[in-house]
Amino acid sequence: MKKRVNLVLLTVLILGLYSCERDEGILPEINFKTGGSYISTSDSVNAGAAILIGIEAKKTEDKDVLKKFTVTKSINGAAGVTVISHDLSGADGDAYAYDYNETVENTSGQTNTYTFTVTNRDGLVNQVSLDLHIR
Amino acid sequence: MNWAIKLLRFAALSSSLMLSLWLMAQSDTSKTILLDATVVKDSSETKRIGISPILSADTFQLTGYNLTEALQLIPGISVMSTGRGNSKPVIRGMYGNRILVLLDELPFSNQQWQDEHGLGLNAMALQKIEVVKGPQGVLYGTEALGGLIHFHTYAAPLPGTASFSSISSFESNGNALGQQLAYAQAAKTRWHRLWLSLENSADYRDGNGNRVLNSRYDAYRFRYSTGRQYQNRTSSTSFFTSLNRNGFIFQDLNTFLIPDEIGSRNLVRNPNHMVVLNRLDHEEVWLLRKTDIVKFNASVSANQRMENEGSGKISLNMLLLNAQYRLRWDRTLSTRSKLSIAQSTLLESNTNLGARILVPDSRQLNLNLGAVYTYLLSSTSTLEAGLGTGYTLISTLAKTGTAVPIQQEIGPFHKQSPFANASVSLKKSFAGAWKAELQTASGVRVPNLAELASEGLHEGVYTYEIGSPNLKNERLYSLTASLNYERKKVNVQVSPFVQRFHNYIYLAPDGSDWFGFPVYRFKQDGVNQVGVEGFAAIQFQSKWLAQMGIAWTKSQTDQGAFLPFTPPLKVSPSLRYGNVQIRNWGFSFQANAEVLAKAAYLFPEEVGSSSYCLVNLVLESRYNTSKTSWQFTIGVKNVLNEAYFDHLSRLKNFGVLNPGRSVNFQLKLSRAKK
Repeated sequence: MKKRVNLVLLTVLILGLYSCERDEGILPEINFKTGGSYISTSDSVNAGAAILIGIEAKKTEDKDVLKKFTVTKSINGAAGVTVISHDLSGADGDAYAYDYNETVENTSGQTNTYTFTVTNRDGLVNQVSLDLHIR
Repeated sequence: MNWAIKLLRFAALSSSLMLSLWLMAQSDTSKTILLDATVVKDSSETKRIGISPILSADTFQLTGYNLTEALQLIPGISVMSTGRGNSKPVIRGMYGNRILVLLDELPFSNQQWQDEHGLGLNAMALQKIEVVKGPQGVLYGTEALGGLIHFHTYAAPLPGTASFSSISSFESNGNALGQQLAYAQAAKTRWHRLWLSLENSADYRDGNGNRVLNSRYDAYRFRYSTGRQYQNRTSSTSFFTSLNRNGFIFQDLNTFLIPDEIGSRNLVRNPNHMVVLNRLDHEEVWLLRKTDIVKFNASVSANQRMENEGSGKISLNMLLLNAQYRLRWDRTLSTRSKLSIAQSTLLESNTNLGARILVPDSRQLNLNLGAVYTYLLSSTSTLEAGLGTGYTLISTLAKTGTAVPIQQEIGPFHKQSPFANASVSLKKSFAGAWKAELQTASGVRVPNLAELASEGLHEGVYTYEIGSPNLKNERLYSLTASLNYERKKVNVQVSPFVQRFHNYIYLAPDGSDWFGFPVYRFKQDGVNQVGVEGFAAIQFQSKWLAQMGIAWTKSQTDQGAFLPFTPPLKVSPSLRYGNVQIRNWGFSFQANAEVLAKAAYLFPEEVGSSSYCLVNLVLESRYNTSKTSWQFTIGVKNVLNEAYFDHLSRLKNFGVLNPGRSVNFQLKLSRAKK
């Protein structure tokens, strides 16, 4: 009987070793380029204007490389549509830069939301977005 | 601390349930009972098909076969694999949570909700394997839909004996090494058994001679059992612990993993899946009034799955804790009839500890109560009928942490799923050598946690999978026949089956994408399945045994699509020359082939596989003295060095072939003392 009690205690001890802390994960990094003609915050633009939004993304852990970069565009709060989808590999998996060019619509009063998303190998996602109001 | 309190609460609840059941059993001794009705009735090695084939230890310890590969010797059983160190059995095309794996009466769970999660057991400590095809939900509840595989560990040694055995093995393809040690000792009423098993392998080479990078694996296992025989009761307790690791192979592995030296077994640096399992089992068997048995099994287990998927760290880290019991009562009602009643309860907790979260934290309760009544219609006919009912409650918790994918569709939920099952079978012997069996049964499977609640990027294949809490129970109606002709030297069996699934759950793309990754959703549809298994054996000139197995199945949804991973037509002839005895030496030789047809039934976008033929040879010699037995086996698998894809290999999607030729050596030493 005593041996069995010891066996149970041993099991409880082993089970207790599992009480680990949750690993929250570090998201990949993504930021707007700033300076020059880059738009990096929500703003108003003229109808039919050409816009330039620059993105810089990089991995945050040694081997947790970037896998995918997407740009989605939403008009007036509607569901976003993927306009750019790039698979990343090689050097782009470590750090990736992208310049998004577009000529906005001639629809005054419209608001376009641009969301830039980067996903790493572990499926961890980070994104930045901005709204452009068309004057 | 919160976690510790939950664990204690969990343990307290399960203990009180077990205690109440034990008290019920104690208070019911006025009734008469009977021996187990479903335990193995025929251990003939040639009984390879039909509804309940059995494999003995001698069969599944054949050199070069791992446990699931050995199960493939049974027509209708195949293996789903994700590399050589990671495989799980498939019964008539059903796998994962559609078949129930039992270890000594109780479910053995290795997080089967995902295709790449392997069985997690090897042959260590196993005495026999019972395979039951078709729904077995009456006595076993949800999951025993496509069938069950019951692993039985060695029972108590004979009183007053002690034994030791050692099995050493080497496999040339991958330089795989294995060592297993076993010790058993029994006094008059007490006994002990101890096992230790180590195995590891470097990367294997395929039939073209190409190294399959990161196909390495290792496993370390320990088991201790002790028991005691009382006047009308036996009691035993076992503790099992294991560490399994296998290299993880996925789509873009070759784009970033620099090959290390050939023969490397390093699994620290490379992407790998690691599972640590601890399980404590207890069994009480009461023999009451000589003809009746009450059997109580209980276990607690912890299964921690840690996956490094190429990011250099463990990202998916899930801890599955469960406590369960099963109470079975077999009672003789008269000389012609008997009744078996079984009640089982499972409490399960799933907790994410890693950054990647695919399925949420959850708590689950499974209850099942079933009864089977057996009636001898005549000296040659038996009727068996069963009814069962059960209930499952799944509660999920909110996903937390920065790593949770954004824009989650599925929030926390509670899902209750009651279900019921029934079965009827009729067995008849006629004309001396013929036996016929007809079985009809229903089965129910409650959707698993992944199907209900997964939401995230599936590692390796990079598909975004979304479950649905609104999925209905899968229901199955099955009709299986078995005809067996058995004379002294001839045995022929054929077993056709027809099955109809309602609400069959499968994963399919929905045409949308999640940040550039294709979205797959769990859907439901009706499925019709037909199939047949056949087996023939003939013994001639006393020492020769020729055998042939055949299995075919086809499963199609109401929309016309075939199910993924449908095993292709398989024919498996073998020829054995055995029982050659020269003084203390014994010899046997066996050649067998596995002939697989081209995969004819493909799920949309599924990668197909071509036909192929594998030839395997085994030469075995034994040397016996009064106390010691030596057994040396040499085997060659895939003699023709065929370069092939197994259709049920998940690695076919990445262009990775199965292993090429391999020469295997095994030395077994057994020593017994009375």
